[in-house]
Amino acid sequence: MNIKVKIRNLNVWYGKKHVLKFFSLDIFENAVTAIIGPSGCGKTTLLRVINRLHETVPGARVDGKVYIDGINIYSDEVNPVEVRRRVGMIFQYPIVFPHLSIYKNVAIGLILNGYKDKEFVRKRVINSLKEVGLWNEVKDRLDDRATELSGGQKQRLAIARAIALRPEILLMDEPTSSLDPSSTARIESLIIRLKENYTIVLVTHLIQQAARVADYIAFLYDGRLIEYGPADEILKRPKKNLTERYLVREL
Amino acid sequence: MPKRLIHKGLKDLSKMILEMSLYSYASFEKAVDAIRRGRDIRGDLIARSYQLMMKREEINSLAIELIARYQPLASDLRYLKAIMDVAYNLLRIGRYSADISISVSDYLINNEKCNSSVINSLIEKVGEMLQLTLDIIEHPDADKAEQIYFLDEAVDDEYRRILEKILDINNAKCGLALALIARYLERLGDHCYYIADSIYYYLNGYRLIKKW
Repeated sequence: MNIKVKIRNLNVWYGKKHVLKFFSLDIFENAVTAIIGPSGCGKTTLLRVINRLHETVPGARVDGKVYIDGINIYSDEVNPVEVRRRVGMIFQYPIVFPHLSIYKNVAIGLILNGYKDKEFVRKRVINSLKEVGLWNEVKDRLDDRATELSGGQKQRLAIARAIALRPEILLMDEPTSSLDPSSTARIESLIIRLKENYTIVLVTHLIQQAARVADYIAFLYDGRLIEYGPADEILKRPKKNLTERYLVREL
Repeated sequence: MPKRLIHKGLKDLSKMILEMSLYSYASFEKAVDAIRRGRDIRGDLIARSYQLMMKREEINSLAIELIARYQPLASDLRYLKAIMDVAYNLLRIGRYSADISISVSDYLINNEKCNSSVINSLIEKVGEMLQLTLDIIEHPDADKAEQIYFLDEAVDDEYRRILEKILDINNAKCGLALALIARYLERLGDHCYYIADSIYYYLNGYRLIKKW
């Protein structure tokens, strides 16, 4: 498998707090990599570093390299806005623009990125809604406010908005933690379908979710990468004692 | 450190599997006694075989309940898989012990010319395997699990050697009884090996057979 993202010797600080420490990781293309670990271990920080979103936090500092397709995204020549176009992000709470319709909630990303051809935008919006399995539920009410959707539908809408820009990588930060079990199951099925076309990095505190959807699992503890490998190996035969203790709920 | 929620369930399972292993071993001892003394105890061993089925069902039910409730991973998950395999193999050991007693009752009792001493060496080897198997059920040990693998090879060799001897026996009924009993003993040994393999898997995450 190809490596889509290479992280090498990454250190991240928020002010004086050393959040990620000497971190190196390979993320494979068209696979789901789950990042697991106890609260505060640096999972969300890791995600934000991959699309340079941490730079919006005052006092954030990065040392090390993050390569996407061989290009260091922290080099001076690289525009962080361009990075964020190629690397979409889905958050824990579904983000919908309350004043916009369902249609406009998906189209907005395209419009803000300079896509002016209305027919092109329309087709892209429809395809994205179909890709996330929402089209049949909303096709007759595209002009309704997005706030009228259920939690699970809103999250799928947020994913549709992200993929409308055709990113290469999707970062998902606990995308189902605010959803009911049924909506969670739908999002997990969607994640497995999406990996055919996208590289997915998923932060989850639900080990069983990682068991259900992940191809690879990285276990973090206190800002360090403790163990990384195929999901089956990590979950059934962890090599490191810390990983074992986390998986059997001793940590 | 607070006890994990699954802890009590795992502890209960350990007790249940140990009890089942002792019960299964006792069936084997009774079967050996039946061979040596020419006693008809098939009723008792068949009843014990059904008891082992019940015990296995209880173990499986609890293991599956723990999996559903706690969604265990890593060594916890391997333990639960292993214990269900061990319970099945202990059941089979009890079943083969019952089969031995049936063969004794049908063909050995009142067959004074039949000398069962030809299979004594096999009985001893299988007994040794079973003892070690009981030991690793109570105290899981990868090295001892490997020993059982080699003991099984020795049992298989002994079984083939004894079959050759049985072929020389003129008394057909006697030859049949001893061949059947030898076969059951050899299969009993196989189930000890399967138990060792499960324990090894629980401890190391892969099967004994893959080591070689």
